[in-house]
Amino acid sequence: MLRRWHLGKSGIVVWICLALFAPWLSPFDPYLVVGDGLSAPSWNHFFGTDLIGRDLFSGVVYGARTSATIVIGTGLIVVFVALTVGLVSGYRGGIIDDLLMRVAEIFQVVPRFFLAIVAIAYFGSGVEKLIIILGLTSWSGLARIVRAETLSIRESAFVEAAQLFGSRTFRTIFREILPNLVPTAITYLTLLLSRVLLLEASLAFIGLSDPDSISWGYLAGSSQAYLRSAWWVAVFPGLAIMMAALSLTSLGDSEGRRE
Amino acid sequence: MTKYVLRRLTQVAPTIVGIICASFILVRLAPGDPIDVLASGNGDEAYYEFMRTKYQLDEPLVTQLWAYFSNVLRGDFGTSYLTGEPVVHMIIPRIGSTVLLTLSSIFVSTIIGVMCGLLAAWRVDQTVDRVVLRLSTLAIAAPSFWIAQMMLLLFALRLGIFPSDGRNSPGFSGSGMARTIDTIWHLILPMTVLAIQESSTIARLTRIGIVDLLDEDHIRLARAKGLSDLQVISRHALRGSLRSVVTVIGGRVGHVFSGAVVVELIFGWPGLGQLVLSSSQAQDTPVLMGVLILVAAAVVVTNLATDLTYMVIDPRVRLR
Repeated sequence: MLRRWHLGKSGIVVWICLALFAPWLSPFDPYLVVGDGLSAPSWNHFFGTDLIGRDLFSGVVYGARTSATIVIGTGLIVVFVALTVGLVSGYRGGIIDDLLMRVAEIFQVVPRFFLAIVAIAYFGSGVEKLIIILGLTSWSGLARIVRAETLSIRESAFVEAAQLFGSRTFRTIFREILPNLVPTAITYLTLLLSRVLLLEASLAFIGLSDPDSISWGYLAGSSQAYLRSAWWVAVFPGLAIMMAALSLTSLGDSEGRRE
Repeated sequence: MTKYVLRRLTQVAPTIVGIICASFILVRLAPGDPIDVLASGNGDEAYYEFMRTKYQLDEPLVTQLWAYFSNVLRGDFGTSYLTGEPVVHMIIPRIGSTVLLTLSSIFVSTIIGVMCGLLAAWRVDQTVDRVVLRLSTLAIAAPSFWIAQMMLLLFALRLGIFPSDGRNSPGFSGSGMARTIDTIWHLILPMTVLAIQESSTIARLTRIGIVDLLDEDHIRLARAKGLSDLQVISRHALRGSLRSVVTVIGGRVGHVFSGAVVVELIFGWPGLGQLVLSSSQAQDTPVLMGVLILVAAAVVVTNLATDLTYMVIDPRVRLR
């Protein structure tokens, strides 16, 4: 298990490095025409070139930036909303709990992919908009888990003890309950983020990503038109997405089981 | 029993009401005049006037919500601004293809998934188990469009075993049996793509369900009586684990629908996904909203049907 965790961790490190140092790691400017159109992978162009002769390897390196930004941004929103909803719902109970959980249910029933497509049609598809849309449609599962954890932790002896000694609600939530639900929440969060990554890639694949930034899904989507003549444009961006998703899931997988 | 059915029905109603309300709010949240969103900014004065009356946009919000609601409940999702056709007329001819694609892949993936899960659980922590786990991890982490393109490259373009797109061969004029076979021929690749990811999820669920079950008292008793692992699994554990497979089917309907959008694009399958794509690129919001509500309703209804089936299979559920 520990081995897998290391594998996941190093995957994430590579991903973040690609994102941070993209201009230095990529041999060419991904937006510039630097070779013949649709040339196969070679020493000059590791992953080949696209239709108009842009270097695909550089595109994949820069794509790491877009996907990392979106995954991290979405993660922050999800954590904030899910913690707020889950903690309030689990700690207070009653009518607020009922109301919040019904709302969460709606978000769980409607497939996120469709919800995102509709939202993008309304609001457009810049990176920030995409982060907000993905964040606001992805929090419900984590909120339910936080709520369930809160409910069970609330009943435990140490919380009661803290309350007996006069700990205020705010303090009880942040000092006693929150730290104890972190491991479970992280396991679920990494799984969720790998799905967000795939969701964003699918949206970009069908042409709904930010038109101004290169992303893995966008690159893969552009390959569809000339799949017959250039397999490499389809193969490499997809592999990058798969690696990133695998690193996220294996990180969470073993994080949970180390306990 | 009636009480349970009634309670489940009353739980479903608010969810559907909530979904319709959410879609209503989404239209009102969008920047600018809702009329621009509803008509997507392309229309003449008469059209705007028509939309204003139809959605009662000059009335207070509550009246607007009610107007929207009664329209949707009557099956009127509005008019596509792109084609001028009622949304329902655009959706109906495409439903068949999508239902064929999604249902067949749910069917196939359930069978394959349960079988792989059984195999893995039977030989838990051995080679077969590891292979099933590894493969399913890979399949779940791979984007569905990537699997689709790889299958297309390999089986259609390189090997030429299966056709690369459409529901029927171009210019196909046969009918009856010949047509069915031709459709199945075209169905296999897109269906397999969707089934690969679905069966991975099912295999994992089945496996973990059985591994947990093998630890329960009545199974231990069966083992103590001298039943072999295979007998225990096929007679006792299988039924229990199928329950968890049935439970998640509602969520899978939504998931397979989402996957179908991408798969339909890649294989040129003439279903709802293609409609969603063209509408999203043209910002044809009434159509998108119609499909969204339809898919959400499909998930809710499947969930309800699952619960009610449950109630018949397992009387304990009624007591909850």
